[in-house]
Amino acid sequence: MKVLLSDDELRLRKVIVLHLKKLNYEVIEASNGLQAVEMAKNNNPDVIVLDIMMPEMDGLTACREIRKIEGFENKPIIMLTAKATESDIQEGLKNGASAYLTKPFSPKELVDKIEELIKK
Amino acid sequence: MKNKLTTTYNYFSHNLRTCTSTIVATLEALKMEIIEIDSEEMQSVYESSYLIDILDASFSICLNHILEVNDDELNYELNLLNLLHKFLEEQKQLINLSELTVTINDTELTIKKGGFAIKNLLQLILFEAIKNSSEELHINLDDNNNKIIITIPKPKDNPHNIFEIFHEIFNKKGITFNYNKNRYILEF
Repeated sequence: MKVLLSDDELRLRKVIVLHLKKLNYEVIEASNGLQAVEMAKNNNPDVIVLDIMMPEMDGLTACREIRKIEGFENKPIIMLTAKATESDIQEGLKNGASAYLTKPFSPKELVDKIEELIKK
Repeated sequence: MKNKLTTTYNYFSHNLRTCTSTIVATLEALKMEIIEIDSEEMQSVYESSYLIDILDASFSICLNHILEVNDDELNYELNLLNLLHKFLEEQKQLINLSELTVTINDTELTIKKGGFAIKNLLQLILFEAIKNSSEELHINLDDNNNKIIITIPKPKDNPHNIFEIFHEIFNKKGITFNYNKNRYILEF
């Protein structure tokens, strides 16, 4: 199972990668939205995890762009973000996210959410 | 005022929550024996905790400025060269992970007024510069003109709009803070 993880916060990304690899997920990493869209096109991940506030292209735009790629219309996209207000959550879902996790989160929550969405 | 409060809330909320997430995720990795207590990843706990302290103090400085609360100013001598070196040391994992070469000229520059605000906001400016840099970052202290020039040759993005509020705070203290995509300049 391949996960595309896109977050510009390197320390956090590194430790999430460790958690996912421990559970035998293959992880590919992006540090901005633009890179995430390219990596989605070229690597065909099964699940995409996107931070919202990233340089060059934010996660909401990246989410909309990824949804336009053939075969990605229904793939699980989890928004992983520090934006935690109700309107932020609605904004994420409106832009095509399958689920929303707010920071601070536990990696277990992320893994549970990935597994829940894969089963669906 | 509403816009300034929103900018301030968004900036500090994002960074405080991100630092907290890093600490939680790292400690959970330790608990699950994915990493060990002396693993290099544990450094991110210390680095994030250090940032939380600066973010909290700076949040209060920004709110007091926007709400026009007059704080009793803490005036103490501050060696800016030591402060910048300390911050770089405290964020060395972030710098390593960013594959960033940081240069700093070893010129002493000391200020005697506005130490509390300068200490916190200057470290956040450098934090933003690190996050926004690709490959290299240059810090130049100029004791003839009492200036600090941070040069970002290959920026990833424009400076965050929280800089507008930092600019106003510095301005109130008689300090000029100018910035563009490639340079952040403080003149004391």
